Amino acid sequence: MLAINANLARCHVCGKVSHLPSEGAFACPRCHTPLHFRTPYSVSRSWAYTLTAAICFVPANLYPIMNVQSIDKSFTSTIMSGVIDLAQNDMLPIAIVVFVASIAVPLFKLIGIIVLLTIVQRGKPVKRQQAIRMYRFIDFIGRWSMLDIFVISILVSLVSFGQIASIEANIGATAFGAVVILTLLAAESFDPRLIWDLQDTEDDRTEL
Amino acid sequence: MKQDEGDTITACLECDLLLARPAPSKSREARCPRCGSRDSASRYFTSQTSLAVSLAALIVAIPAHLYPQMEFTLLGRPTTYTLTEGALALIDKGFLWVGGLILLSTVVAPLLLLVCIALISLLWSMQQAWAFTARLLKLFHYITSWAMLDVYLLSVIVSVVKLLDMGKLELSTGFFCFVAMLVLTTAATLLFNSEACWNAIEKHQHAGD
Ligand SMILES: [Zn+2]
Ligand SMILES: [Zn+2]
Repeated sequence: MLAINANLARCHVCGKVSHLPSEGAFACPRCHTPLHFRTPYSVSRSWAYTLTAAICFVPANLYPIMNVQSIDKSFTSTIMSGVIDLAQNDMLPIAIVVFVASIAVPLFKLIGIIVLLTIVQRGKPVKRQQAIRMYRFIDFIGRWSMLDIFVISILVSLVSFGQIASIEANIGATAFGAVVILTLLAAESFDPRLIWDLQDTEDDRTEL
Repeated sequence: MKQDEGDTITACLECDLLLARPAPSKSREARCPRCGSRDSASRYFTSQTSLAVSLAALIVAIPAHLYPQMEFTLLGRPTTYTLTEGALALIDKGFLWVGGLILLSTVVAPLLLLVCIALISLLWSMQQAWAFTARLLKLFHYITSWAMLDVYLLSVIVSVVKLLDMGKLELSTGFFCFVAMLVLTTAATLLFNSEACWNAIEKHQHAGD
């Protein structure tokens, strides 16, 4: 049996299971967090964060994230040009790491959340085990996109030799930071129980 | 003392299945039979271990924040880098928002997390200040996903590789203390069980009735 069918809900902060009246607001008796059967407005909030993140993803990739200045050369670096630079300097493993963390992960996350949201909104039977695996993966990988942001901060602080060589952050970094935070919030707003509220395509074998 | 549903029944956070509350287990976390998700609330929790590990992490956190992590030398001129400097450099150059985010995820959140675990474990062993413990538990809940020391470690490695062909780079004391802090922080987080603490608070409230 599901908790919602017994009018029970588990508090997401302290874990206490309480009886929830079908109408009106109710707070957890143990930690006073508002209790709900499902995260309120989960789908619309998640859509809002995801779409904003998708919009920020464009400037994050088009605008430079760093300005590099040294005696012989001076150039701006976007996320992609940074990856290409590493690959051309025989540092392919690191280039792959940066590519995965900065481009593949945010992109996969955006697409993944959009797929999950569409599945939930359509309300048709799905392979729930597959959908929940995707949700868990998205939830797990999200934070690793912070990699490039941290790298920028280390480089800016370490390479500051005035006229000789210096690295400065650029507007792309702000946009990229926004993408990371917004996708984190989008995944956090999504209530995985909505996947299990759908019918499974296989049969009702797993329905308890 | 009256047992209520919270003590014997639990629900899966991922699929909402009603379950009998699993007994605390040292070996593995309980899994939901319907969706397979692990429930960290079934972790075996002892306040002594938790206190010891979090205090050890806080102790190595001091040199990890004070000593430089690396030294970069270009044309004979050295610069050093300390954990907080990257965030502060960005804030200083007007990237307030991004700098603040880095400061939160590499300094503020991890330290708050450790202080929370240490204080909660300490108050648990002293059986005191339950209301304050409840506040700390809430703070712990909201701060925990913002600590990103593991990601930061990878970014130090990436930065080192990027700078190697520009000049001379050496890792120093601060970096090794940071790695120790990361290992201990991860251990402290995995050994902690906030639901066990909430249960203790509730039992105390009932006992007071
Ligand atoms: Zn609660
Ligand atoms: Zn489940």
